[in-house]
Formats: sequence, structure tokens, C-alpha cells
Amino acid sequence: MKPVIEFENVTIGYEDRILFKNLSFTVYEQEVLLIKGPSGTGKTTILYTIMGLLKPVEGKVRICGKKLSLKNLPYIRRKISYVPQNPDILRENTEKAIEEILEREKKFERKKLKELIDFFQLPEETLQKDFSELSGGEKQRILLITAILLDRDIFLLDEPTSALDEDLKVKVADFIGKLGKTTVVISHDREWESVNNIRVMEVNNGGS
Amino acid sequence: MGGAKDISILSMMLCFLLLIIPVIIYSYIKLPLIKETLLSAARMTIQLFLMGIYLKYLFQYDSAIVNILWLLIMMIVATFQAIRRSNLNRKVFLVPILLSYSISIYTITLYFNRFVIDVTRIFSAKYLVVIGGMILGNSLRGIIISVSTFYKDIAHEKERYIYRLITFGNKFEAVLPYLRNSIQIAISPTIATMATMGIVSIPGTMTGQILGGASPMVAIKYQIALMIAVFAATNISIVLSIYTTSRRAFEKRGLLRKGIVKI
Ligand SMILES: Nc1ncnc2c1ncn2[C@@H]1O[C@H](COP(=O)(O)OP(=O)(O)O)[C@@H](O)[C@H]1O
Ligand SMILES: [Mg+2]
Repeated sequence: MKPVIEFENVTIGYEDRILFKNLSFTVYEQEVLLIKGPSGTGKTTILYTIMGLLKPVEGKVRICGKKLSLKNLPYIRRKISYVPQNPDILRENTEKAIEEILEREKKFERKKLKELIDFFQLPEETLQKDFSELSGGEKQRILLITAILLDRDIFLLDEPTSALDEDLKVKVADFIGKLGKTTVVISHDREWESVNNIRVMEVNNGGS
Repeated sequence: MGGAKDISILSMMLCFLLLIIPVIIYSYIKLPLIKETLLSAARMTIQLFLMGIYLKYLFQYDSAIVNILWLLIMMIVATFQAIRRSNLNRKVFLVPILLSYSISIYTITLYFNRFVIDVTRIFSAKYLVVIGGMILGNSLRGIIISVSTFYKDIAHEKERYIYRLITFGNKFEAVLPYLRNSIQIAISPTIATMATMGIVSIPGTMTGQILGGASPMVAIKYQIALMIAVFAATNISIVLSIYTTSRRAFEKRGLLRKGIVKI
């Protein structure tokens, strides 16, 4: 198994305070890592570090075997699909917004999109609505579907099921688990823990 | 040109008498704007009289270098004040905005003087300082609104911006909706003004020119030309300002630096 995300004695934080000291973990190819922990501990900050938005104070981070240097950032970012914690991301017509994102990589297929819409129990007219009119749970599913269709190697999902009903949480967790992407998911939802082969990392105050 | 009919001191005072009406209204409805109104009117009077005096000397002296410098000083003062009143961090924004603003104002004013009004002495005070001063005064508001909207929106929508940065993979596409929106917000009022111009009100420059003895047809042409010059100058300044400020406002990794805008 190839290591895809490697943290080695990493210290991360903002000017005013350190969030994690000597954080080490590895996510291997096709593995799903679940990060759990109280809010404000720095889970989102870990994802920001993986995306190269934040320079670690200390330690080594490697993504796909490459250091997080400025030179490597474009390459690394092109491998990442990100679903943010706040799903209020797209604007205006939902289908057009999805198409704009996918068409750049020639990955827009209306049929596949419709299938996923159906699979995740979104009403058919969702695509024709303005994204801002959708409910929180609908927005989350649209962003997940966009990430799935974008089909990049690494999935970074920040509380992607927080606004979904229980049966949908199960469905999403199960789907992502079977997708075979290297995934880091932050979630408080227990449904993720029953995903096959999922690895759980608990973080808490004071860091780990 | 015969010039406009002069206004005597007594007549000026009769004009100021009109201010009593708003003052009475404000005091009646307890709107705390009286002091500010009177103070602003006093400032306007003093400032414009001073301007009258210095313009007189500038016209007499009429040296290209002095005129160029004078325009620059006007821009420095205007930018300084506008940034102080905005929510932008002065250390980061003053120099790049001033630079963009001057490039745009000098270019448009000189182009205007040379090709539109077709004068040979494009640096003479009458053209450089007066027209340049008019263009710079009317474009600054839009520039500041645009730049602060741009950075404020990105700061507010941090996750959306990050999403775009990762998903589209480059900063230009990540900021594109913010760029569009900031230009739109700053420019829409000007577009609306152009569309309604001439329907009811008579624009200020035209009033001045007609009173000064110009024929209405000439005054109209100047009005149209100046409107377009202001519009072009504002747009150029906005795009240059956002471009030049972005080098300082963003970190190398793409996030907006802290303390750039007050939100
Ligand atoms: N840009 C920032 N500057 C300073 N502190 C920040 C910044 N972003 C987040 N924080 C702080 O870092 C801590 C961790 O934030 P975050 O990673 O979002 O936590 P979590 O995702 O676990 O809820 C919080 O206390 C938060 O206030
Ligand atoms: Mg978080």
C-alpha cells in the first residue's frame, strides 16, 4: 500500500496558538481516515494543512510522496476534492454551477449526475433550482456528488453529513467507503464508524 | 467666452441663508446632523476659495512639471483620506492603490487632452489640473468601494474561496466571482447615471459651462466626453488596484493575509 498523506511529527497552529504538537499519521492509498473530536480542536486546520494553505510550524508533511512546497502545490491541489464544512459554496443555477466545475476537466456527464441525484434521494428539480434555495442537507449532497464526479485521487470531507438524516448518513458513508479513494473525513456521525476498514483518529484539546 | 456673471458677497450670503431651512428641519426632528452640516459647508467654502486662489496661480505660472506634481498631490491626499475612511489596511493598500490610480488618471487625462479636446499643450494647468482633477475626484469612490468589496467578500467567504482555490487550482479562477462582483458594485451606479443622464437633471459640468457662456451643444459634448473618461479611468484603476494589491494581500499559499480588511 502506498502512503498518500504523511504527517511526521507535525506541529500546526496559528500565530497566537499551537493546535497540534508532534502529530503523526499516515493515510494509505484507498484508505478512509475518520477524524473525530470536539469542535475547536483543529480538525479543519488539519485539512487546510493537507491542502497546503498553512505551513506547518514544524515537522514533515508529504502528499503523494511530495513535500508541500510552493512548487508542488498546484500538483497536489489538482489531486484533491474538498467538501467544506459550510456548504454554502455554489451560486445561481445548481446544474450550471456543477457543470462549470466539471467541464474544466471534461468530466461532466449529465446521465451520471442524474443517477447520483437519484441515488442520494434528491428531488429531480434540485438541479434546476438556485443553489442558495437548497436546504443544508441538499447542498451537502450536491457538493459530495460534485466531488464524486470530479473523481480526483484524494477526498477531504469536512463534516459532510452533518445536515443529513440518519439513513442518508449511512448511505453516504457507505458509498464513500466503497469508492476506493484516499479519504480523510471529519465527522461526529457514528454512521461513519461502521464503514468497512475505516480508521478512526481521535483528536482532543491539548493535541495528540 | 464672456465668462459667467459674478456673484457678489451679499448674494453669496443670501445663498447660505438657504441652509437655515434644513437646519430648522433637523432641529425639529432631532436629527443630529446640524453641526456636521454647518461644519461641512464651512469646509467646502474655505477649501474651494483656497482652490480658487491656487488655480489662479497655477494658471498664471502654468509649468508642466508643477501641474503634474499638483495632480499627484491631489491624488495622494484623496487616496489617503479615502483609505482612512474605508475598512482597508493603510500600510498594505496605500502605495499600490495610489500607483494604480495615478497610472490610470495620467493616462486617461493626457489621452483625453490630446485626442478628444485636441490641444497641443496637454500639460497646461487648464487641461491637466482641471480635467485631471475632475476625473480623479469622480473615480476614487468607485475604486475604494471595489477594492474593499473584493477583499471583504473573500474574507467573509473563506471556505468558498478555499473551495474554488482547490477545485479550480489557480488563484485567478478562485477570485473571479469576487472580481466580477466588486467591479459590478462599484460601477453600476455610474452605468445607471449614464443611462438616465439628460432625461431630467442637468449635470453639474454642463451648468457651469453654459453659465460660462458655452453653447448647449458644446456643453453636451464635454459632458459626454468627461463621463466616458471617468468611466474608463475608474475601470482601469480598479483592475490595476486589485492586481497590485493582491501581491501583498494574499499569502504565497493563497490565503488572504490577516488584518487586510476590517470585517
Ligand atoms: N485563521 C485563523 N487564525 C487563528 N485562529 C484560527 C484560525 N482559524 C481557526 N482558528 C482557531 O483554531 C482552532 C481550531 O479551528 P478548526 O480547525 O476550525 O477546529 P475544528 O474544525 O476542530 O472545529 C479554533 O479555536 C479556531 O478558533
Ligand atoms: Mg471544523
